[in-house]
Amino acid sequence: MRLLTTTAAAALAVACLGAGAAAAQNVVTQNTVQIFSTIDPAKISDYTDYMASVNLYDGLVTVDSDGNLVPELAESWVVSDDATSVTFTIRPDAHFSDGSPVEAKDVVYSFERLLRINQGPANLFAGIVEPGNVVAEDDKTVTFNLSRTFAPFMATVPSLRILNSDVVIANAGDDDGETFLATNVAGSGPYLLDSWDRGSRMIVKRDPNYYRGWHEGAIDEVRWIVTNDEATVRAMAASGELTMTSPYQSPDTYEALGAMGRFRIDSQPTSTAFYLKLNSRLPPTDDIHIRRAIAHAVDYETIREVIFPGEPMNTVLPEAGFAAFHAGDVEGPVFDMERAAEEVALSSYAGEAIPITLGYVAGTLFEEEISLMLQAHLEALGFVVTQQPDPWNRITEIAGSVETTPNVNQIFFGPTYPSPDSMFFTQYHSDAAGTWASMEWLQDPEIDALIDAARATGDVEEQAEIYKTLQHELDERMVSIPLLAQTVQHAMDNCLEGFDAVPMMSFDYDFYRYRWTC
Amino acid sequence: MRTDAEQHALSNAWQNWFRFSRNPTAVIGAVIVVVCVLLAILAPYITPYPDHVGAVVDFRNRHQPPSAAHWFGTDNVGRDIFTRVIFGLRISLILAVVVLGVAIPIGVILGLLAGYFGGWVETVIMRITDIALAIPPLVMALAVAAVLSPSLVNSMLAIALLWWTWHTRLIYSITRQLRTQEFVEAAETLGASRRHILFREILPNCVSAIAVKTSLDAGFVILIGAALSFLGLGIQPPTPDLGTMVAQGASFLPDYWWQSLLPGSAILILALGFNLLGDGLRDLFDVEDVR
Repeated sequence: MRLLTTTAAAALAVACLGAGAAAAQNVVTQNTVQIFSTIDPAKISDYTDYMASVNLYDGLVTVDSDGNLVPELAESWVVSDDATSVTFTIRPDAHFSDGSPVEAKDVVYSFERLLRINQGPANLFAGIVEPGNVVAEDDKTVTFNLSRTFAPFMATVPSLRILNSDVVIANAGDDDGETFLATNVAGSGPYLLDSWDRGSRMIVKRDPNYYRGWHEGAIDEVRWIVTNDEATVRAMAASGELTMTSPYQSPDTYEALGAMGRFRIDSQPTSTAFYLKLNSRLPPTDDIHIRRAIAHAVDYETIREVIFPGEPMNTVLPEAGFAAFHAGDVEGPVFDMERAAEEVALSSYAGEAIPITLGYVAGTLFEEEISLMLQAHLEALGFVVTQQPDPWNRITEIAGSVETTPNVNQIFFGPTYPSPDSMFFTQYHSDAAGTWASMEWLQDPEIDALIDAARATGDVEEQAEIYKTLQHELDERMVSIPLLAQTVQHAMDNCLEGFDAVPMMSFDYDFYRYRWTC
Repeated sequence: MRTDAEQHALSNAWQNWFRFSRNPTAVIGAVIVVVCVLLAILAPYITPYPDHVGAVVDFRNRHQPPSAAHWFGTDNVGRDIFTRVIFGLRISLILAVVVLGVAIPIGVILGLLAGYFGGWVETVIMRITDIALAIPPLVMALAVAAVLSPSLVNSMLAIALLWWTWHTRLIYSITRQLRTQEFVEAAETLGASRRHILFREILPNCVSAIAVKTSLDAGFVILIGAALSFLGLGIQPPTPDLGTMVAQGASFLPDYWWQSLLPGSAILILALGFNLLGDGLRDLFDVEDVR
């Protein structure tokens, strides 16, 4: 009898859909500039991996465009007063795509497996949550016990994708399910894997039974075509096959697609910042006045408007994604050659020819243009400039010691998890020194203490205050000159809506958030 | 009053000039080379924007097509391409002069020694030459640029390190023929020193071959230098260099064609000029051995 009812309901639903929507499936076709290397949630690392993962799997929480954590599998969570444990309550209706309920044991299994395999997002949890410290309280309640207070912990939770433990254990084989999960999905995400040809494409289809339900205009099918060839992208757009580009096309391609009429060019600020990093331990940039002079010798407006599109940035923390932590009252560097000359006069190098090296990534045209502009302005101030273009792998090498790090370096840096900590710790904390992200060689105990203090408090208000203080302190020291916050661009079909930049890798490609409006 | 010898030399030169001027390709080649050299020497005085050689940026004037103000248009930071092409000729010619200035003396001396003495001297020199000949110059230059840092001096060094081999081979084969000639044997019989025989008897008879080879080589050295710069291993910005300009302009093809096409044409014309001149000289001196 029950079977009969369900069948009847299904038949009715099909009949209703058939009238209007069944014929018109909402299909999104997007190109990616690189292949999907893995769909195993314990191994994901780059933008395409995460892109597949956010659609095929769900986490306990996810991130919105303001960087806030919002419920996904978990309907609520409680952080202990000392911020050393977090208890999540899983939605009662949450279920995997095979219909079985999502339970606390699945969370425990997914976490333990992540640490065992020790790849992908595992490093975010290393030393913070030890194996065995994620505990299932009951079927729908799970507690993470932290080894120490670590305020950014919650921001790392979205990268933990939840596996259907029963299915994985049944197919674990002798390699912890690595073979199985390399080609199969055992998750609760809004989309199901339809086909995947590693070198060329991946197709996912909407799970009609997804536990969070569907909205009007939902995307039924997403096709990712792997190509970084501009001509191919343009041809696919012209033939009507493409609905959305990757964010990495050339300006010419955006222009050509914009001219077709079917596309709009969607441009949004991101949390990825572009800096001039000044080596604060090498002459002449060891002098604060020289650093300020350089900051005044940069024509920010021309860079943003002519050389590389971006949003103005007044401090080292981009406003997009971190609005609550951003210090809007910092004046920020301004282009003013007179003030630059005054600063040079105040420095201990005043009155002499000041040798300086400008480093940038060899072969990157816009960086060379910026470097030439800087050379022109600095030579007018009495500097003797040496351009030092290096390939990227060489830059990662020379960033390893103070002596080989050039005076001025053009570096992009974006958050790997949606917390200001990701921006400050990696770039400015002494413990993280010696990488391309910290070519300033700041190593300032005062700054370290502030970063540690922000990590050790669970109080968001207090954190925000600390991060604002940090931005003022870093502005005083002027070791990183914020050039611009990168904008992300897509050519999108006029009927497609829903891209909203998120300060965490690829979470803005969760197609559950998109809708077809035509 | 001219002596007979002077008279003879004069008529010889006049004859050569007459034959040369009747060879249209040689004359065209010579004219191109002379014009390029003059342009390069006079660059600071004849170019419209000599300051555009250094770090000058003018972003309002970027990507301007060729016009009266900018004959070859402007590049991606608004610099005058005509000015930079003329200065680029300078770098190319300096490269050719330095490389050949280092390679030719080495190659000629080794060739003379190997050809005249024979025996183990010949074996050692010619086998080393064969080994060096087996390494493609571009690959060698890439390796040197990778080990040392990419710069004009290093790329010149790399090319010079391999270029002597061709001259060694050439002079070796000529010397082998000459050493059994009567005038060499006569000098030996008279007890002339080896140095006298090598440099006073044999070398003057190689000069025409060297001249032909040198002018042909100049074109090749310029092309290799441009190739290295194109790959980002030669001259570093902002110094104007033809190969670098072609490489940078290539990212703006086809819309801003002048940025790579015009510097590319300059390389073409310069290399062509040296080759035509070399061919003309070869016909003139009737040197068989060169290529």
